[in-house]
Order: sequence, then C-alpha cells, then structure tokens
Amino acid sequence: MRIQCWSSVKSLFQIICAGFLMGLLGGPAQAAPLEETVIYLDPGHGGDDTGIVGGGGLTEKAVCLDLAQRLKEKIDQRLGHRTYLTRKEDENLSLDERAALANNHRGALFISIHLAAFPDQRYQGVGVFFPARIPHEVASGQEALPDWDALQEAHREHSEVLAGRVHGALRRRFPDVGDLGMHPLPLYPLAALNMPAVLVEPAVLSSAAEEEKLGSDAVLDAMAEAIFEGIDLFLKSGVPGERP
Amino acid sequence: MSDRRRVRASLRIWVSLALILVAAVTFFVTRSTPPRPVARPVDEVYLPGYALYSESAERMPVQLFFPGVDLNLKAENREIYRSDDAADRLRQVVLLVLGGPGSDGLLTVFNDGVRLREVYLYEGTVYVDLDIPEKAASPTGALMEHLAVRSVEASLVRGFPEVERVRILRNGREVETLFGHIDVRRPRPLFAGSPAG
Repeated sequence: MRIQCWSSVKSLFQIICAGFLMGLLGGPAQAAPLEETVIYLDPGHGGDDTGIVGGGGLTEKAVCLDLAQRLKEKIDQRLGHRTYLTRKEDENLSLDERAALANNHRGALFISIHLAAFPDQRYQGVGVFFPARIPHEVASGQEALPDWDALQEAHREHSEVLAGRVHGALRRRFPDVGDLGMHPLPLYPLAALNMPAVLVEPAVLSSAAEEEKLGSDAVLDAMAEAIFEGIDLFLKSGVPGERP
Repeated sequence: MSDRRRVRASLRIWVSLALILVAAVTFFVTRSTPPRPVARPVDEVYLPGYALYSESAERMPVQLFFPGVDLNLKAENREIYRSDDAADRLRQVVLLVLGGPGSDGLLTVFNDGVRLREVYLYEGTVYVDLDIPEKAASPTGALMEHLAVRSVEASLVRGFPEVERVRILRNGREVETLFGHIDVRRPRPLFAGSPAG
C-alpha cells in the first residue's frame, strides 16, 4: 500500500516536472488561450510578387501592407484582441504558410487584404469574397476522409456573415464608388483555414482614379476604419440566430 | 447687306452649328462606348505554333463564354474548324478564349503573354496547360481570376458532352492557383453560382 502511494506521488511529481520543462521550452505556452480572440490580417502578395501594379506605379503589395498595419493598430487600440500580420514587411510568403500561421495560432478570424484589377477603367469600388463550397470527389470504394483543406466548411456560414459585415461597412463609408459585390469564390488558401475567413478588395488598382485615391493617407485610413467596423460588428453581433 | 451675303452668312452659321453638333455627338459616343474588343490571332496565343487545322476544313459553331460588363458570363457564338479529334476541337476553343471576345460588351479575361501549351482529354477530364510567364503572375484580382478560370471551364464543359470537368495547369505543372487567388487544384464540374454562373 505504502509502495503504491509512493509510486503515485512520484508519477505526479514527474508530470509536474514535465509540465514545468515544457513551459520553459516555450512549446504550448506560445499558443493562445482558447478564450482569447486572435485576429489574423493577411496583406496580399509581397516580396517578388508585387501583385497588381497601377498605371502610376503603385503596387498592390505595398498598399495591402499599409492597410493591414493601419487596421492592426485600430484593433489593438480599440478592441484589445491579439492581432497578427502574416507578413510584417515586403517579403515572400507562400499561401500555405499564411494559412498555417493562422491555424497554428488558433486564429478566430482571418482577413486577407488585396486589391482588384479589371481590363477596363469603368470598374471601381469594393468587393468582398468568402470561400465557396469546394466539391470534394471521393474515389469509389475509398473511405470518405475529410480533406485537410475542407476545414473551412465548418465556418462557411460565419465567413459569409463576416463578409457581409465588412462589405456593408465599406459601402456605407464609400457610397459613391462602385460596388463589385460580395461573392462566394473558390479562394486559395482560405479553404484550409479553420476559422471564419474573407478576402477584401477595397479598391480597384487598375483604375487611374482609384490609384490616385490610394495614394492618400485619409482614404487608406478610411478604408481601414471601415474594415475595422465590419470586424467589430461581426464580433459583437456574430451570426444571426447564434449566441455571439 | 445683299440677299446673297445674308444667305452665305446664315449658311456659315448652320454649317458651324452642324460641325459642333457632330463633334459633340462623336465625343459623347466615343466616351461612353468602350473600345471594341479585338481578338488576338491564334499564332499569338498558341505556344507550339504549328497549324491546327486546314483552312479548307468545314467549320462548326461553338459557344464561348466571356464576362459581360455586369461580370456575369455571357455566351458568344463563334466557329471552329471541324475535326474528328475531340482534343483538336477543344484546343481551338481554348485558343479562342485566350484570344478574347470578338463582340462588344464582353471582357477579355487573359492578359497578353498568356498562351496555350497544350490541351489533353483523358476520361472526361480536359487538361489545359497554360504558359504563364512569371512577369504576368499577378496581373489581376480575385474576381477577374475567377472569371478567367470559369470562362475556360464553361466554354469547354457546356459545348462538349464528352467533357465532364476541367483541370488547368500552369507551365506544365499542377498548381494551387494561376495568379494567386483562385483554387484550381481539382478538376471541377461546372456549378451554378454568382457571379460567373
């Protein structure tokens, strides 16, 4: 009996030591607590990939990073949530790495920021996209294991609501520019994100008029503010019919 | 002032007014009408460059799909050369899509520099191998990239019963996206959904 008791105490001591060592090594301590809201902002393109280049030379990668930094500042200051950028500078980062970063940090929201381009100048304005349902074909006779990149399926409804909130906020703030709508698209890598995710294109860089506006601090700040409002509204009100 | 002079002066005024009117109408018409799309010739969009058909071959109608100004796909009636080889017919269709629409009110979906390497048909799946230079890697946003992919898919699937799905390759390799936004990893059956229908 005494030996059994001593063995239990020893096991408990070993578990506590292991936990302490893991803490020191920084493994699980890096992960956010489950109740914490982690927001991932993803400035599109970067490094060798300039994205769209406007007629005046403005690059999509630079505008996206600027917008994401402004948005992070607003969320940090006013909502107090932990906000991360997938890239903090002009660097190459694969689409898979962007998704993995957000998934590994247990992100609660993912906002990818891009700009649009069209083959003629008539198109201007705001477009917001969320992941479409991707058809997954299963070979006959095989067990239907879910694909890794079908993670988004569980969050599609939330992604659509988030897209609606962000689109609505941008339209309210920029009522005079065109509306490129809100659409489900088979977006990569958003399908592999285990959280509500949207891709925002707040302006059309191929439009000379919009490129000029994107050079203005006030316009960039207003865009970031509108996206912030959309996120804030989503976090406060959640999905209709669900408890926020 | 004599009658003749008066008539001349009034004629000058009327001619001047007419010229101003014509100039104004021309200005407004050209301003509100986008330039008519000019389809690129086959030798600009086909990488191998060899002739795909005999000019004397019989022609057959096909429907291509391009985005309209409202960004929904619209059909355009075109013709290809008739061939017993299904892949040859499909190859011609892709070349026409890459070349762009020939009608007003439709948008070109692929930028200059994107060319066809080859088209293969294997058990209902069409593999379309595009040559996309690094420079043209990200010329577009998510919506136009989606419309480009859907234009190819719709033009192949809707007109040819032997085609069940389309898989687009880039420079001979399977890729996640063509230009950084839209998932092209799986052969996709055509499904209804806005904005490309």
